[in-house]
Amino acid sequence: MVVQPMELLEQILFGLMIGGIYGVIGVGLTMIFGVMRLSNFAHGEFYMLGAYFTYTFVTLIGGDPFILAPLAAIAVGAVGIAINRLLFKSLYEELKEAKGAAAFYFQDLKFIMLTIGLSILFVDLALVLWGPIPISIPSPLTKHIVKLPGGLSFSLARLIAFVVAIATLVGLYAFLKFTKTGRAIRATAQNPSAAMLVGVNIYKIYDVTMFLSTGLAALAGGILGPIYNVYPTMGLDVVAKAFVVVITGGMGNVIGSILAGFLIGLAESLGGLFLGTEYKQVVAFVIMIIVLWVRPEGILGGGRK
Amino acid sequence: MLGITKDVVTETSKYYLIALILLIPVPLAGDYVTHVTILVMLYAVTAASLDILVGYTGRLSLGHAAFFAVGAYTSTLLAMNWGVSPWIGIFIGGLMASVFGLILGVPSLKLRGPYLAISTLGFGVIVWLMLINLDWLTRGPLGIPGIPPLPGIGPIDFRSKVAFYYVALAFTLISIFLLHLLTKSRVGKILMSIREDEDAALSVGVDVPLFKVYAFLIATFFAGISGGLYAHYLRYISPEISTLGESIYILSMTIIGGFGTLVGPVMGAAVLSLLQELLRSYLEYRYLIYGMLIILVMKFFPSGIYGIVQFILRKVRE
Repeated sequence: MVVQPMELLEQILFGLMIGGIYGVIGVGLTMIFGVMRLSNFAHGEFYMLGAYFTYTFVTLIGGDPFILAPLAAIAVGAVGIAINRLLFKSLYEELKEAKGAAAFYFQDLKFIMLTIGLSILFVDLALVLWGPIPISIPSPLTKHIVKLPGGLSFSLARLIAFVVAIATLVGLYAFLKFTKTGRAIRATAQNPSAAMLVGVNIYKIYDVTMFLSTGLAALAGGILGPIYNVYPTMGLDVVAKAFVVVITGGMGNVIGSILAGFLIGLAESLGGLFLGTEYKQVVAFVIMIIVLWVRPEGILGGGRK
Repeated sequence: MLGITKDVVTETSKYYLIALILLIPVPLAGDYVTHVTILVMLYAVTAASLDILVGYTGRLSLGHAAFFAVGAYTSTLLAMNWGVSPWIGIFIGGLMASVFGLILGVPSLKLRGPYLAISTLGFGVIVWLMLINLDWLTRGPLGIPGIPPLPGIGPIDFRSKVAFYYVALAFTLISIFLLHLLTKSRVGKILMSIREDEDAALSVGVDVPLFKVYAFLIATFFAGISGGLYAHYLRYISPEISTLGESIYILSMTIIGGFGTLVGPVMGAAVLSLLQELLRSYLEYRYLIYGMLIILVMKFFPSGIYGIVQFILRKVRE
C-alpha cells in the first residue's frame, strides 16, 4: 500500500488531537486509581454523561457546546461526588482494615463489580432519558474549516478540542503541583495514613479527586460531542482505551498517562492508515500487551504522582 | 487420583438427587419453559467455569464470553465446512477454547487486579474483532445461520426441544459435578491457596504459574463446550456472543450468585435469566434494574444469592 506523505501528516495531526483527549480521560482514571486504589470501570460513562449533559444544556439554554461543556463537566463532577459518598465511602474504611493479598483481591473485585454495575445502570439511564438514536450536538464551529498550507484541512471544532485538552492538562498539572489541595492529593496518593496524621482530611480529598476525575471525563465528552456522535454506549468504547492509556502510562502516574494518551492516539491513527481501519481498535491493546511484557510499571514507571 | 475422599461424593450426591428430581419434569411445562431452562443451564455451566477462575483462583476475567464464542464457532465451522459430527466438534471446540485460554493465560500470569481485568477485556475485544473481520471464515457481523443440529441417536431427534433438554441437563449435571470434584481435590485446594495468598503459596513450593494456567485451561474448556452446545441448539451464532456485554453478563451471574461456591453461579444464571424473561415487557428498564442489583449485592451482600439463601436457612433452623 502506498501512503501519501500528506495523508501521513494528516493522520499524525488527527492522532495527536485524539491523543490529547485520551490524555484527559486517562488522567482522570489514573488519579482515581492513584489516590483511592479504585479501578473505575464506569469512567467511560462519565464521559458519556458529559456529552449528554452538554447536549441538554445546549437545547435548554442555547449557546455553543464548547462554552457549555465546562458547565456540564461541573454538573457531572457533582454526580461523581454523590456516587463517591453513596457507594464507595464505606468501602474505604473496609479497605483500611483489610489485610493480606486475599483481602485486597476481594476489595478489588468489589470495586470493579460495583463500578461495572454503575456502568450498566448509567448506560440504561441514558437510554431511557435520551433514547438509543445517536445524536450530534450542533455547533457552527464544526462547519468552520481551517485550511493549512499543502491542502490539509480540518474543522475548527477539532482544533478547539485539542487546545482545550492541552489547556486542561497543563492546568491540572499546575493544580497538582502548586496548590495546597494539589499537594494534599499527592500526599494522600503516596500514603493515606501519613497524610491523615499531618491533618489532611482524606475523605475530602477523595471527593475532590472524584470531582476532578469525573469532571475531566465529562469535559472530554462535551468537547467531542459536536465532532462525533453521542449515544448511550459511547462510554464502553472509551473505557477500555482509557485503561490502556493508564496501564501504558503506569497506574497512578499523571504525566505517564498524558504521554501514553498521545502515544496511543498517534499509534491508532497510524495503525488505521497502515493496517486498515478495521484493526484500529487492536493497536491500543497490542501496545498495552507489549508494555506489560517489557515494562509492567508503565513507560515512566508507576506509582509516582 | 485427584485425592477425593469418598464422603465428598456421598455428601454432595443428595443435592444432585434433589436437582435431578426437580429438573427432569421441566419439559412438561411446555416449550417456552424448556427453552429458557436450556439456556439457563448452558449459562450456568459457563458461569460456574468462570467461578474456577474468579472464585477459586482469584483471577478476575472480563473476557469469558470469548471462550464461549470460540467453542461455538469451532464446532459450527467444523460441522459446516468439513462435516465433522457435532458430538466430536463440540469437544474439539472445548479444546480450542482451552488453546485460547492458554494464549491468554500464559502472558497474563504475573498480572493482578485491574491489570488482569483489563487484559482479559482486551483479549475479548480481540476475539470479537477477529470474528467480525475474518468474514471469509465467520461471515463477519452477519453471523452463521443454518447450523446443523446434534445428529440423532436411533429414534431420538435432538432437533426437538425436549430431547435437547435432556442432553443439556446431563451436560450440566456432569460438568458441575466434575468442577465440584475439582474444587474438592488437592488441585482445588492449591487454587484456593493461590487466591488466599499467592506469595505464601509460592514460598511453600507451590508451582503457582502452572496451577494458574491449569485453572485457565479447565475454565475455558467448559465454557467452550457450553458454546458448542449453544450453537447446535439455537442453530445460529453471531459475533454478538463474544462481546464485552456478554462477558459482563456471565461474570454478573458468577458474582451475584455468589462466587467461590459453584452452586452460586448456577443460581445466579437462573435468577438473572429469569429476571431477563420477567422484565421483557419493561425492556428499556431491564439493565437499570440489573445494574442496581449488582450494586446492591456487592454493597450489602457480597456473598451473593447463595449467601442470602444460606443466611435464611440458618435463621429458619434457629
